[in-house]
Amino acid sequence: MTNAIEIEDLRKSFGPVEIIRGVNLELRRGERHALIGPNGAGKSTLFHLISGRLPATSGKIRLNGHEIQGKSPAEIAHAGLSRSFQITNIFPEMTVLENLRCAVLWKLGHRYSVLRPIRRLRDVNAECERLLVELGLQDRRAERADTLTYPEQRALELGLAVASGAGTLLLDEPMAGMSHTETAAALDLIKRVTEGKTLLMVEHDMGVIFEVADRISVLVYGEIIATGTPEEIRANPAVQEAYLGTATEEAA
Amino acid sequence: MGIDVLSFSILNGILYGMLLFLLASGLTLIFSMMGVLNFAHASFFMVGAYFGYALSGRIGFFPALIVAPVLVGGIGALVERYGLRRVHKFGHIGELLFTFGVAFVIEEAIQMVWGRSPQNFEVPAALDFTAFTLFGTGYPAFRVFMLVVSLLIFGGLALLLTRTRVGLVVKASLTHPEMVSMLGHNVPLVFMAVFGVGSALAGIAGVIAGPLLVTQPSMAAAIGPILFVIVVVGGLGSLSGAFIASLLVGFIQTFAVAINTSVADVFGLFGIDTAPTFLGPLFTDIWSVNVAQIGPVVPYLLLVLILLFKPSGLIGKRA
Amino acid sequence: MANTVLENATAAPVAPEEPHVLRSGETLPWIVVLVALVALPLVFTGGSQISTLNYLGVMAIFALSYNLLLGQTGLLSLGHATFFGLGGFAATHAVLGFAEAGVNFPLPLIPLIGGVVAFVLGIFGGWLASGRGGMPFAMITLGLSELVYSASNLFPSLYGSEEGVSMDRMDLGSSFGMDYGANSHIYVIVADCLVISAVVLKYFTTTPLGLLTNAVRDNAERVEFLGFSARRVRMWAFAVAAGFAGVAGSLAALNVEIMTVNELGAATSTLVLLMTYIGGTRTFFGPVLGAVVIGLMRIWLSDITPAWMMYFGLLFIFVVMAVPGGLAEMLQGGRRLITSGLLRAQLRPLAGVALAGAVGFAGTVILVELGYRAGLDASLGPAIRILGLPLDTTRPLSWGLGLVLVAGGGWALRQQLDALATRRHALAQPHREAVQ
Repeated sequence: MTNAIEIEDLRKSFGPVEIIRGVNLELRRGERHALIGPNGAGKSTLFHLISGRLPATSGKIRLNGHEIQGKSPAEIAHAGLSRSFQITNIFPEMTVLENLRCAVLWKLGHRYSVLRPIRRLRDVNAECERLLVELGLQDRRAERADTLTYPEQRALELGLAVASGAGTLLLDEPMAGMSHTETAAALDLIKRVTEGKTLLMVEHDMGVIFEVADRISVLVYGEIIATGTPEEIRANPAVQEAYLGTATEEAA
Repeated sequence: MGIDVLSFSILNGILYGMLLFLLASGLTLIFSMMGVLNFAHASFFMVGAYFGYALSGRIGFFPALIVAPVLVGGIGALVERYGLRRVHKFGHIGELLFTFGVAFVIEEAIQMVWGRSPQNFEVPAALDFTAFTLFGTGYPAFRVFMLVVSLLIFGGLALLLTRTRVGLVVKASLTHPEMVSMLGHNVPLVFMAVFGVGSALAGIAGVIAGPLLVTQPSMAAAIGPILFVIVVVGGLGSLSGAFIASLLVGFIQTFAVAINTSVADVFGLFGIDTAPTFLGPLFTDIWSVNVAQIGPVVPYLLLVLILLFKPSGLIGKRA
Repeated sequence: MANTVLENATAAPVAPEEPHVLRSGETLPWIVVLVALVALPLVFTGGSQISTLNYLGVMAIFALSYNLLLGQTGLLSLGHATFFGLGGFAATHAVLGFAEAGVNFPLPLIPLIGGVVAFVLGIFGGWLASGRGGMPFAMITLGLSELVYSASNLFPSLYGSEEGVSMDRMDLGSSFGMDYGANSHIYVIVADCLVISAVVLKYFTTTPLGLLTNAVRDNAERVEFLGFSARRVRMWAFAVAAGFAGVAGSLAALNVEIMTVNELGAATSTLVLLMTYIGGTRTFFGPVLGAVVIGLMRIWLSDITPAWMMYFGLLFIFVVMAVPGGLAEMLQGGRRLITSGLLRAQLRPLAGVALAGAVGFAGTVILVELGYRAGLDASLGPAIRILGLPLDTTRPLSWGLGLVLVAGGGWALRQQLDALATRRHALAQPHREAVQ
């Protein structure tokens, strides 16, 4: 069985500065993998490289065995990868329902279609209905996305990523900016909607990480210094020195 | 084409290219720093020409060369402060629409004050002589003066950008637009200044071009689209790209006027003298086209070619 | 600011509006349009009046097509007239060609030819222009449009020389019981095309592709991550818009029986932008409203004042700065205000706003008219009657009056808008508590 994602010696430079310095990473199919590291370690950049938002300088990325580096975000989405963004990236002037409709169109095969009105497409309606319930947004379906509360917008952000039906999901700080109670609810939601999918997520909240992740990789200054189960990472002296020591204090 | 025509065309091409760059540089600076494509830029150029015309009648051409751009820059700053800044919240389309409206109103205002016919903006007497004679044809001193002024401003800008702190900030904003606001500069003031200076540059171009091009209400609409071609062909936000594209367009347009060859002449070289009518009237049209007619079309063809083969422009940083 | 007037009109917790931007028009505008299309030719029966109606209908289709780009896809095209003109020339040559070949092609189907030609050209143009949205799109459409315009004098057999290409719409003979000599016969075609275009364009907004155009407007980047190519979405929107612009251009050609290259020039592109934006890009029928209002202003205002273009420009800037939703949203705001039942409580500050606005407007008119009389029309003499007042461009008092009115009106407007906002805030408060 091939891995969901395989990254080989991936590098990215901005001008003279190398931000990603030879990353190697394997995501096993179906695992929940967390990416942690101090600010500026290159976590978001790595996400941008995998999802095609930025081109890599060198190296290889394989998704389900197919090489995807150098491809456009749309092509990578077709190959079965979907992502959410750290800064909420939804369709602000459209309703919640319309947001989700856009996200399910591709996988249901209604691509650039003008053959029928969208509200007559049963598969789209059923799928959106299911997602609305799952995301807890069924009462907000007719609201414009920019009028939602922050946690609701984050849920919709997650929903757009999940709705595309991709087997592999990249979640960039899905709980960023949430309170404790909101985080707990969001964590619950993430667990539910990503059931059975391969997950790579960046998160700062160590409590969340250790609760949700099967494995953890630690990215420091553009390099992965350790990969392992939460216990292994907790016990790893290099990680403690480079990162965890300060981070757990912060979290406490 | 003889050597005489060739040398004059090169001179005129550089002249026209530098004039275009005077305009394109202001447009690029404003675009790079503020993210605003100023549709009214060519209108400020026109206002410069009209102010130059009106003022040189009262205070003389050379004082007008200073005063008119200052006034135009002031108008530009006011437009930024009381107009553009307020529509900023509506996003780029809102800003674009606003400057479009300003261009429209300026064109009307010009007609309101000076009427619809061309103005008699004469070359100042001090510069109304032949600078030098080449192959028996004289080259007017005013054109030399235009070239010198453009080159001086070009040099001044280059020095400003490479040697001063202001230049550093501007250059930083060219490459990393999001960084400037983090540097602790008074961004609204910087924007107002940049918009004012950009407009003033267009104003200078207007004053020196007024006597040569015709000072009339349509001059903005005539040069505006060419500017956008230059900015796109050069690569959005790239000053060096704008420079190359300006000269390119300058040469294309001057040489097209100078070359008096038609498609028929080319075929004539092969002994084909009459248009083959069996290919239809459209072909007969092409048959009689001469290069001078193609001149105005070429910049836009260049645009299409660039879009097809190098969409980011000649020196495009932002794809 | 005047936009607060409109936004706050909804502050009262009325039933949640259908929030989708292009759906808020509901059915009333459709009824109004249909009734107007039937009633207008019964009221205005003169040949030139009907021709004016035809012109307005043509512009309505043109503006509707433009809004598919501007309002729906968020694309500012500065070269939409290219397709209006090319469609018109295609239609003209089609009529000429069929007439020469002796084919009795039904005239009402000619706009279809213009539309298809423009659609096909629109696919190519759209592909070129759609790589990026925003400013690059605006510049590229301008460049492409100038390319077609400047190349037109290379092809006199296609575009005619200076006087354009003319044709006789009766050359194709009768069909559907009409010989198309009378303007009212053309009106039948224009009205039908308007209804069909509106229905098709409205239908388009409900399809998956139509939804994606909204998504591209809102957030083109995210569309890519959902698997779609923003460029392809833009390209199709561009092509469809071009097609309907071609239909409008064909109808224009049938109405006046002549096409000139001016129809595909920058002035026509500007006109459709002004019409659409002033009418309102956020409502489906806003552009139709704009086409009618601006179209009529163009005809009437140009008779009374040399400054009509200036008024267009100022109105446009006012709408851009203060009422980005355009006239249609102003109307909707007014309607909501009346149905909310809170009109009476706000009557006083609203009247204040209206009065202050009127004073400022009067001052603007005085200054503009004086300006034109002092400059462009100086040969007509300094004495001029503006808004019934005997003024004189040589008297400082006349200018002073205009300045005072503008400044005073502007100052008062700001005060009154503040008062209105306070009042509305107060009105909305108890309701909010009641809801919670």
